[in-house]
Amino acid sequence: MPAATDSALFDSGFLAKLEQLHLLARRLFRGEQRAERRSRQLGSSLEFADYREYSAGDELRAIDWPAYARLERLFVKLYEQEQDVAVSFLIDASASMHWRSTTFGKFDIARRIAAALAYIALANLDRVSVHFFADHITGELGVVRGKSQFHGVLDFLREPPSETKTTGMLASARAFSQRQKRSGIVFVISDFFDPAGYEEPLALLQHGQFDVHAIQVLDPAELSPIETGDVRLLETETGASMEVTANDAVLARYREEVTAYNSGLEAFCRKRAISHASVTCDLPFEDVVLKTLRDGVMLK
Amino acid sequence: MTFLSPWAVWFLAGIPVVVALYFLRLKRRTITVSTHLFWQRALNQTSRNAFFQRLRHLFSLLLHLVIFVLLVGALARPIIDRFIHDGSSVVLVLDCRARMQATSADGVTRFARALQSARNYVREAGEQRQFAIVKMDASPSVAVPFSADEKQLLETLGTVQPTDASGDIDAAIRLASSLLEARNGSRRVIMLTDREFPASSENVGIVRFAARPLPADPATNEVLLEVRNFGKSLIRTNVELSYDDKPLDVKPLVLAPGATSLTVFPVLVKPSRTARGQLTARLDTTDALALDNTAFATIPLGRARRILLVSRGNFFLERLLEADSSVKFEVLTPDAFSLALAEKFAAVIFDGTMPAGFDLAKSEGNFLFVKTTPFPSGAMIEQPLVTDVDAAHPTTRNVSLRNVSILHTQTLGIPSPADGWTFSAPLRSFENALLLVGQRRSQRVAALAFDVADSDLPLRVAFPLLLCNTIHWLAGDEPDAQPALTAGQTLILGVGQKVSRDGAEFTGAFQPMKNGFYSSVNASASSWISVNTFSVAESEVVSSSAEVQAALPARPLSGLPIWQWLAIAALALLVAEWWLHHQRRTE
Repeated sequence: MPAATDSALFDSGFLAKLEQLHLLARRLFRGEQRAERRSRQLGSSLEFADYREYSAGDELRAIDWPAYARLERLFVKLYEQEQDVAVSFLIDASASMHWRSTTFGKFDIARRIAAALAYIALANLDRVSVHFFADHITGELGVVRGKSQFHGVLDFLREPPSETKTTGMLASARAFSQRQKRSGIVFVISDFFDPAGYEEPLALLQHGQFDVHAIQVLDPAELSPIETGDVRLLETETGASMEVTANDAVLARYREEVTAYNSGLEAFCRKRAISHASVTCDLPFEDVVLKTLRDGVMLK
Repeated sequence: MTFLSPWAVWFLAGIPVVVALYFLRLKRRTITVSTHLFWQRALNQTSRNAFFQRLRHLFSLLLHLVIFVLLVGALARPIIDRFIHDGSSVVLVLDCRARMQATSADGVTRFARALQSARNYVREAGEQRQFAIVKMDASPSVAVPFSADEKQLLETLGTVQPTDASGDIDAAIRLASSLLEARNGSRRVIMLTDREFPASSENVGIVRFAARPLPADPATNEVLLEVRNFGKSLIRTNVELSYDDKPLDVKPLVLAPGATSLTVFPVLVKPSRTARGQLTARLDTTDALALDNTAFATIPLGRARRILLVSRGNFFLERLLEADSSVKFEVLTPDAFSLALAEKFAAVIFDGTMPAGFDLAKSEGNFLFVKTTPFPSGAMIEQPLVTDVDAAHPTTRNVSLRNVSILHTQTLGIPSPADGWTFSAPLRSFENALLLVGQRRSQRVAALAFDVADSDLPLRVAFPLLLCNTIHWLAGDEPDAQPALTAGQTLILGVGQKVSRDGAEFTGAFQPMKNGFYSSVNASASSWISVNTFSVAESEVVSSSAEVQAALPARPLSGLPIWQWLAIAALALLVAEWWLHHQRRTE
């Protein structure tokens, strides 16, 4: 991530906006420490959770005396425990993510989205971990907590693994699931251009009790290429080449295929209750965070 | 079908090169993409039409090969055998008459336009269409016989110039027809004349211009000038006369449309030893045809001939010589004469005498012997009759000797040629020569067989004519010499006579095609010949030969040689291939 962009991305106004946001999860997770997120555990927050009958040893302060007056039985009021949650970022660092047709490529946008979401999570006292993956997990930032760790996150994002490789989402997802002791929220930020498919990796993460958010990052030139004529297409990941005579008909079919692929990803996510958002590199970043991701039910 | 350039078929060996170039052309631009995923899927759909895809590749290569073969075919210049055997023959008759120099409003002459049209025609020359070019002027001639060589035809057209002469259309067509008689196949005559090239209708021209000395006063010349207005407007102009390129006189002229001005006026020129006698009339006007605005004439210079009369006194001869202003004579007695004097005079007249030991074979000079001759003579003939007069001979031109009485004459036979001399008798009495003339190169001799005092000839008009003709003939004057010709007229030149102008020399025959003055030189004298167009038909620039036009409508040639069709087809396919390639229909 270019250093010059840090200040632009995280100016005080934008950070203030980020601090107003919360990461959404479709279910509750058991946390490790007290925080600001509701959890399954009962504790001492102000949020009423349930009643149970009094038993010896309970604090007298917890007895609901109005209920005793009506029912002549002793009930103790239970309150929810607010805990933290593990928020993980799986950032695609494969060669396809480094391909760019604009000033800021897909990988740059992916890291900036991860940085923004990490800041929100850290501001809410959640635990954050960041992972780069390609055909396997290629870089990992261990769990950090608290806004003071945000610069550490930025430093990690600024220095991604230099060697770009092919995309292997399944192996990476499997490795990630095995390493995580607790479930939590997982943001998968990728172009999802995996010839082996995205379905199995996403399903595997869901099976690991993760609340999965899929953020697809695309380059405008991938959606609608303009090159015509007799061309030799060199794939960045594999180095394979193929010859294409790109006329209007072929380009139209290409656009149909891209649209169908993206629609398929969106439909899969909707079917599997996975939050989904698709962004392109030419969108203003503030709109991406404050609008697109909120529309994708990832933030509130 | 025959190939005129069969060597071009060797180019077909280059087909593998075309195929190689085709595949080289398929070298593609390399573009890096993030994934092949969607391209493969998009092309998988296309590959359902793989057969058509392969067909498209084949079509592209086939198109290239067809273009190549068409070009090779064009280079081989195929021709249908019938065209070789029969062919097409076209005779271009290029009008070179004076009227073709008429200009249109934009200043371009008819001839220039006709020449351009001829060039356009000959560019279609080929083996199956051969052209001949006929120049139509006073003497139609073949400029180029039938030829398929476009370069030769164009070069010849570059040398053709318009003449100042009238022309003979019928003769040109006959010549063109005779050229076509021996040709097979399609035959055609194309007249490039003034019909298709209109000129301005305004023209004034000099149609006659001549000068001659007045008999009563040889120092004064009378000039005849005839000018006609061929246009439709009233013309006010001047006629500028110049003598030897120096202004002489200016005469105003007013001519109504279609009117003719005929004037005769005297001109007095200053005698000079260096005078050329060139009189020029020039109309001070600008019209369609410039060449008839200028006319040329010559004035006889009138230099007197020196004649020596060797006589003891002859009243008739002396009076006659005195009356002839063109001669200056001297009289010597026979005793005072020596043969060395003969070379100083244009002619020597021996009246009844002859120098002692005179040998004609060794003599130098021109001589007239009266009564006493060096030729063998016999007995006297009493009262001979004049039976034969050669009207064509210069000595007896216009001489009528009817009823002339001669008392007696010597018997004078016609000598056989000897020592370079040839003799004839233009005046005879049966077999006897009354006047014997002989010539050896430029030397001349004449002998009158009788004494003029023994006849009534001195009392007849024929006497001065006969004697003057003879004296001038001896002096070398050529009564047949024509000081004025019309352009295109042919003049037979005498022995040793040479006509020249601007470095061009004519001997034997002289047919001028340009107006102006020409120098004529023979052994004894030099003179100038004036040449003019003087043709109403040429000056009438608006009218044209309608009957010829009706018979020979100018139609453009049609049809291209096969090689040109092949080249056009190759070009069309090349354009189509370029378009299809940019439409990504071909590769």
